[in-house]
Amino acid sequence: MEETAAAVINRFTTALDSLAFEDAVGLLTDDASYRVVLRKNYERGGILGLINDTKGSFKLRCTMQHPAPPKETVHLVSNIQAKPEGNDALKASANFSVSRGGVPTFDGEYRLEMRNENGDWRLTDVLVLLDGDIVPAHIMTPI
Amino acid sequence: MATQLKEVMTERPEGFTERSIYTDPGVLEREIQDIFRHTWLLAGHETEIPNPGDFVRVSIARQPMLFVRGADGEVRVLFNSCRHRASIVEPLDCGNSSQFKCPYHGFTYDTTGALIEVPERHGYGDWFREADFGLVPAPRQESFNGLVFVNFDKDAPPLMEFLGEAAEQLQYGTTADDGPLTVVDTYQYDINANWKLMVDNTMDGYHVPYVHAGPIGASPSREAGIHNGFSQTLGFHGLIQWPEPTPLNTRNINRYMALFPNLCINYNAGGDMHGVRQIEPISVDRMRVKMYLLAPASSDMEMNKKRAAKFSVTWGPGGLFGADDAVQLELVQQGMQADCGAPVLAARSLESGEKGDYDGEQSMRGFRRGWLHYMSANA
Repeated sequence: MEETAAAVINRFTTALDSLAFEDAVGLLTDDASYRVVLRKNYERGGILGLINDTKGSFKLRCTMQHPAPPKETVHLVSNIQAKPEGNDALKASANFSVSRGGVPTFDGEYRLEMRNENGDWRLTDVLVLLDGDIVPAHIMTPI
Repeated sequence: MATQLKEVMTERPEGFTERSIYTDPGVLEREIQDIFRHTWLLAGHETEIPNPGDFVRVSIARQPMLFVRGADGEVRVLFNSCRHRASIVEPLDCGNSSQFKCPYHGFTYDTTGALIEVPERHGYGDWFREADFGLVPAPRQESFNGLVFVNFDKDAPPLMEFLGEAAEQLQYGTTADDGPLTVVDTYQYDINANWKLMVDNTMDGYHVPYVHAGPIGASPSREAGIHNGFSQTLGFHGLIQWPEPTPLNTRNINRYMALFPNLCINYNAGGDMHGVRQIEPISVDRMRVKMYLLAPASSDMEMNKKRAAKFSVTWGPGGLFGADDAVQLELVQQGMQADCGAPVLAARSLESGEKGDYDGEQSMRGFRRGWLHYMSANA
């Protein structure tokens, strides 16, 4: 399971790092959601996320013209854990650190749900929990 | 280059602003002392702390404060600083507690701020009376439709006088059919730009079809009816609204209001998004924005989740509008560093007086007059 999860996470983060956003969009199932939430808000049961995208709005996020282009992005991912959810689905989590323009910008945890669709594992839910009290403004580009 | 404030305030005609007021740390220090310590500032919303003992730790004009509902049910804003050695007495961001115990030496206060316990009390002489050493309340505190404001100037005019003609707009902007709006959730984020730029941007209808071309299309403003609106000063406060004026209690309009100096009240035409945005200067080129999502008291969890999702998609820092603004404001801040001697403009519809087109800049100029008023007081 961890190998499967790691492969999907690797494809997702590699797509983001290389600005191949269409590849990232392609990894989402049609009913997928992409959410970014401050961990402290999430853990106290707050409902106000920073980003709450459907696949459609995620695609718009990826294809919009940005006033300033995204800087070089590097994802470091560790501690991948996964468990099956039936035969064709799994839940996974992983810690991440993201730097942009050489500056550490985000730390947190992915909580992911994946589904096997015709032999291809894709993401049905991407929950990004951001650590820290304050959100950097630059979260428009997917994390 | 240190700004010569007197020159800034007297030599530029209305609509022209010296760049250095956005970049000079000395100006920010003056703003803190001359504006933020004399104007009414939001501490929080009563519904953030519905139960006795609920508290939120807040920073208001760089002052560490506790926004707390006492065991007696009263909402208070207290300095979060022990009367013994000044330590923060409540380090948590929010929660519920029956008392606040200083972590340094154990001075303990109840939720009204009264000092209730002094460890090894015998060490103090007869002169020491607990009643004299409670947590210090904000010098002034007043509420408006659930919003709790403080003023650090005990001689400041009352809140209603400060709000002036903005009061009825604020009343409407924070009220639903079933009464005052309530807080659903909050969060904070930082932008690397001067605090005034966010206020300006909220009052700037001109940028919408350019900065937000992505989410609303290439040339959307006329089709969206945005030009069928207005920009208006409300004293030092400002308002932009579209479509054109309708009775004040009409719901299907977009209304963005800026209360001088640092509070923005946003209300959308769908009636399903009401936001309060409070802007706290961190440094001359960095601001902290606290966002409040408001909803009618009757709105249930499922409805609020929908509101939160829409709110996130639009006004939040990751929203299709909010993120564009944040990035753009940082580019403006970088450009403000250009020490080229040329002022920046907020001069559209300058000839129209206090009210102009939606993409006029009346309300920005109202804010500017407020800035000059308070900064001139001690110039």
